[in-house]
Amino acid sequence: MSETMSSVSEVSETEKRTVQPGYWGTREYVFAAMTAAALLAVASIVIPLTLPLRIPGLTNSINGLFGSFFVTIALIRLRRPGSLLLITGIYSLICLAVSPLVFGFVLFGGLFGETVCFLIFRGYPGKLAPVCGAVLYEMAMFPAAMTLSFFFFPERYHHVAFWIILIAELVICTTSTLGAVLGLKVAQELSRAGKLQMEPMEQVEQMESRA
Amino acid sequence: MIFARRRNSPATVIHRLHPFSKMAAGMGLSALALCLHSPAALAVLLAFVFTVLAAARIRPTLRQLLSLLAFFTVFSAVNFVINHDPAHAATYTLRFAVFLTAMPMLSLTTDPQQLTRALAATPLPAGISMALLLVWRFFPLLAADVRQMRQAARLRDRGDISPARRLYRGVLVPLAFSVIEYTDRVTLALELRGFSPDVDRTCANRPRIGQADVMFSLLALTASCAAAWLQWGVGA
Repeated sequence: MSETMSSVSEVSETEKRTVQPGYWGTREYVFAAMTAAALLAVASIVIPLTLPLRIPGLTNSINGLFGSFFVTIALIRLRRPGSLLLITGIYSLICLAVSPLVFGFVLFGGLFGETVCFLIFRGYPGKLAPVCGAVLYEMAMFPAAMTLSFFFFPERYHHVAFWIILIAELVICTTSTLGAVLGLKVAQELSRAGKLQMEPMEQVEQMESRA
Repeated sequence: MIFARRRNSPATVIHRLHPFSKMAAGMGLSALALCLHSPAALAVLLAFVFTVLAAARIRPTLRQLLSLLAFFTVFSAVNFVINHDPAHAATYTLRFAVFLTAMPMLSLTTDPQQLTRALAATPLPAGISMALLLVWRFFPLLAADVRQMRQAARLRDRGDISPARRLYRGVLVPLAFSVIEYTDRVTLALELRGFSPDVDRTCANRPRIGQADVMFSLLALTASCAAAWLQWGVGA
């Protein structure tokens, strides 16, 4: 009898373990993957056009406009703490196959944006947090890229003055903020079209628990 | 069944290699290219990648060749104008060419099923492995969508819309909708097939490291050693 009871409790424990959903669902992983694919598609068009010009920060500032647009929409959709890290983690793993340098600065940007947004907003509620997350991610990538590039090509980057980096950061901040605001606008359009939920996280969780 | 197997069987020995051996070779060559400064050494690495692509019977179209040629001409010309040193311009152009070709060595010769089986053997969470595969699969589709959207926006333009507005309304908004559409469809398809990110994927036929992988790795190592010798051995 006691054996049967223990086996029943084992089974129920196993069921609990298998039924318990993870932090991210299939939809979240797919959305993060699609955002990473969109970032990669945009980068594959922007980078070949801007990289040969070799102006410090030009590639990041133009890529930041499009990158922050998609990252903002994705953060509005995903909302949970760790969303930016999930997107940038997937994107950086893809970039790892291109260059370990790109992997390093993309992951650093994601980690920096995620940490700041977690400390200030505890996730991505409202409209300000996704915009801040996207802009911080884009802004953090450039100094990280410069540091890593200086480490590997000191002869090429030693003459880049600090004020050039500062101006480039200001330009990146401006373009990525513009991109993030546009992303917010499009997210509202998507919400009106019934394609995206813009409710606060608590309401979404309540709806999920009711369902 | 026999015909199906024949049709699905990889075409060349490069296609049959373990995805991780190609990935390791590509990443190793890219990392080494970062450290090399001699055009001759970089040319050796590039020659190895081209040989692999030729062995895999990958032939770029004339349009692709012309685009690449135009891009590298502009890239080297800008480098030459900035530094006034042809060797310096050649180094940066060759290094960039190694970056651009080492990656397609993996992506053009690995089908998603092979990569899925290889990723299933890693300790990566199932959701992340699936996400990587989706990026792999949907990147060419989204890139083609972007091209179509740009073309459609250009055709619709009557000259009264600014380029920025055309880019926003004609490309960015449709692309955002396209991402959401793909997400809905792919999620539904995955859930209907019983996919769960919390459960590890099972795989009956995992790819294994074979003799061909050892040979390929040795050849990549030989090319790397030759490049390193040209860089540090000859001058030293």
